[in-house]
Amino acid sequence: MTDGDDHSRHRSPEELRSCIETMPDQDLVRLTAFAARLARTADWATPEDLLQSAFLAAISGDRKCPVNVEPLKFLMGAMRSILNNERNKDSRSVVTDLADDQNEHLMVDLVTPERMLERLDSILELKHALSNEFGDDELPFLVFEGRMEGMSRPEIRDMLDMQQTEFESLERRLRRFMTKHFPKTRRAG
Amino acid sequence: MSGSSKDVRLKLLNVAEFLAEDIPDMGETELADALAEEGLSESAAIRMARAAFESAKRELNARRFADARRQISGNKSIRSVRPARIELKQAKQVLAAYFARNPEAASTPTTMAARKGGELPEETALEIVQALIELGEISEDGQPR
Repeated sequence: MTDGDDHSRHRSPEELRSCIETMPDQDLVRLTAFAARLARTADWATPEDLLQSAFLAAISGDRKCPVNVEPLKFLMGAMRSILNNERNKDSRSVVTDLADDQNEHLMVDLVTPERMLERLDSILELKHALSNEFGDDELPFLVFEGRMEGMSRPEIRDMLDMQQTEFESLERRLRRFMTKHFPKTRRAG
Repeated sequence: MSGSSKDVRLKLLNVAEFLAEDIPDMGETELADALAEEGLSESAAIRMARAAFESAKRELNARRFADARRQISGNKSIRSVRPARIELKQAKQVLAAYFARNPEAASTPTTMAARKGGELPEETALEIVQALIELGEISEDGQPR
């Protein structure tokens, strides 16, 4: 792809900067709400961190926004991706010298056992609350499990043999419950 | 429940995405409710976004400043390792040859004397040759690149 093509298909960092500067308040509210929801389960990023990183990626040109994507949607996607990348900082590859001529690459976990337990606790608390709320109704529980395991919506819907509207309604119910009951992230320090 | 810390973190990330995915399509009332659940008012949310943007701009400026600084110190080191391998008396010839090969350089703000290599003092000619070497226009021994 030539530079010319690239420029014609992506918004320039200057254009994005201007878009953000003139962004309507309602869009800023939506962006912050999105950041806050994303950061709910993340003890590795705050909503402020996510917003700042997404803005920086946009105005520095580190992330490119296609011309057919609204800047608001682009920034939301950037936050999602930043959160995912930050997640990888939990572990680090190190080389250890086992012998003179032998090295081994090890993935060292940087998460403290206490932090790990807190995270596990968060998930267990939510499962417990779901079980109390929905009782014998397995569907909300299965949808939750599927999403937590990273399955796509169509995959889960097909697996549970549900209609689109029925599925969407269940997701709304589940989300409403989770946002009310999911323990807010306990951020260390 | 078992799993590595990476697995647990991935699960939490998936939950986060599930929780956030309805925000883009929410109506205004619903959005205000969602914000209230996070303990934020609309004005606080706007302030947070604007502060984050200001912080991003500051970081970008700092990053650009650091790049410029690195570039300047890089140029200095190039200068020190690439001295001209040209005698003082050859400098005017090298310069005249350069302008003969690059007539478009005549539009640059060098003196007419420098372009012709005529009455230019040899020391000044050598300085210009050194500058051309540093710019990568000619090699250390005055040959075209």
